[in-house]
Amino acid sequence: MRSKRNLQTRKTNRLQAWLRTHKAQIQMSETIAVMFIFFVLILFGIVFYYKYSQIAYKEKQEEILGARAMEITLKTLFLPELICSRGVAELEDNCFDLIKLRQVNKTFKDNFGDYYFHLFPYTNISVQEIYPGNQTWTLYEKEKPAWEAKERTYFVVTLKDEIKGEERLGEYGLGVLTVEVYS
Amino acid sequence: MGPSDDLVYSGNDQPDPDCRDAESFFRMKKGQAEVTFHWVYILIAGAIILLFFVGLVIRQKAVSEERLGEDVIRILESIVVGASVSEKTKNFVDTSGLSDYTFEFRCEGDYAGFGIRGGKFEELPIEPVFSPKEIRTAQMIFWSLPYRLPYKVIDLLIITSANTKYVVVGSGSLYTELQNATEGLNFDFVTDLDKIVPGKNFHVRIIDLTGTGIISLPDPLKTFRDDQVSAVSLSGSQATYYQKKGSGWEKGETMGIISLGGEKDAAKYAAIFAGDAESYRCNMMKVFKRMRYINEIYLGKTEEIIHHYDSILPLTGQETDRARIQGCLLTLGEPAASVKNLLKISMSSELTKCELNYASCNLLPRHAQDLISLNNQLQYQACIQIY
Repeated sequence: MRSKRNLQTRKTNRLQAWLRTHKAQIQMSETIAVMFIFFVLILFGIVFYYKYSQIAYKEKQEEILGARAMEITLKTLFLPELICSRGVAELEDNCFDLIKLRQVNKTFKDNFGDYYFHLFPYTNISVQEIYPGNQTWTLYEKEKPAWEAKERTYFVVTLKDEIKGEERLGEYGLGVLTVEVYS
Repeated sequence: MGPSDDLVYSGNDQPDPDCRDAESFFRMKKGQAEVTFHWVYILIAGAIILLFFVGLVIRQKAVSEERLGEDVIRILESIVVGASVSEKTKNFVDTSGLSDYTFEFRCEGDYAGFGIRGGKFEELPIEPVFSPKEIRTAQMIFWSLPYRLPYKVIDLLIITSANTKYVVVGSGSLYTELQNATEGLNFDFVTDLDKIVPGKNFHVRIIDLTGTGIISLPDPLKTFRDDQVSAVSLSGSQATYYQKKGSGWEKGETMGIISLGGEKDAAKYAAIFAGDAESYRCNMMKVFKRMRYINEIYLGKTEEIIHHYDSILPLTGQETDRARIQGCLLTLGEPAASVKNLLKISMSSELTKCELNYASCNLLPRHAQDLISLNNQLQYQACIQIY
């Protein structure tokens, strides 16, 4: 029992002696440990912020793409190249003149780089007739190489064909304008 | 190295006297050295950590500023698109959050764009925008006016601000028209230029409708900076621009207004709001470029209508209908003064010349008048109209 206590005392003394001689080392190790934990926490924060920024950026890009799709749809709906007119009277909203519509693809293609690419960058625009026929016209086609995301919007439009139906009044039909934008 | 290994040193060895002195010195100074090193260490570590955060903040600030600039440009671009398709409407946009920023609008030679001064610029290669050169305001105003020659070509977008003052002097139909049309804008109508009350506006533009031109600088405007005061003198279908220089005016270029006239003449209104002659010319060139493409489409439409009448003529039995169709074909495509020839030869060649030199656009209104007559004739003959 006594020898056991002596052994315990000896061990304690040894430890105290070691601690005395290595005080600075221990303090240094403590500080390094604190610094390490501190930087681990900072690293953790940076990783978390980076991930959050990445998600926020992606969401923002989607939002911008959606807004751009709406902008291009709006531009297309009011294009003087397509919209129905009645002399000097107000233009017919949400109405495409089919005679003009049949011409635009050529004009858009011929003047693509010079003008229309600035108006519709990386976009596909098509009109599908729903009534009375089911024809589809591709007005503009420019797919982005290696695109990451695509946003499609639809808009119902009136299609007016002046060389069909009753003379001078023309024939009115229905169609869907599809605008596809890429990012 | 474990605690037991250290116990090998018992302290019984006899060190030499020099070492003993050094040891005692270090024992004595141990506390002092420890505290000094401790503080130096804290200072260095603190400075590194502080630098790290300062760097992070600076970087974030730069990123935020860049992002703000991009957001502003994107929002403004959306507004421009929205406003340019909503015909004849004035949109008042609150920009109080951006009132510390100066927006610049440029259109010179091949470059056209807008942006925040010192920041990112967004190109506007196809949209005709007529505005003061600089805007710094808490409220922006967007006004879209359709330009027809005689068919709809494009919407001219006018951008101005609540603190850009327009002082109209003169009389006549345009004076009365402006009084009715400019509701909500910062317009003053005076009979004598010396009675101007400039107020705390960012820019003052004098619109002279007297036809005599701008002669002297009104006294209340003499205290303004040169770039804050400008004038435009409208006489018939011409607009002459002036810029304040010292205590007088520097006369700029005179530009022709290419339009069909009449009420709410978009080209004339654009001349009133354009920053200077170069900006007006540059933006109008964009209009004529677009007009050339639209002209091609109307030419295609004319050819398709001619083809349609050609194909139904042999199938038409009734004499009156045959005569009507033959009349339509005559107006559309056969004689020299037909719609087809007008679009294909006169207007097309004029537009090509016009794209190279603004001064060559003068004949366009006359061709447009001819097209109006032919379109009315088509209506009268019960034919399909061109526009």
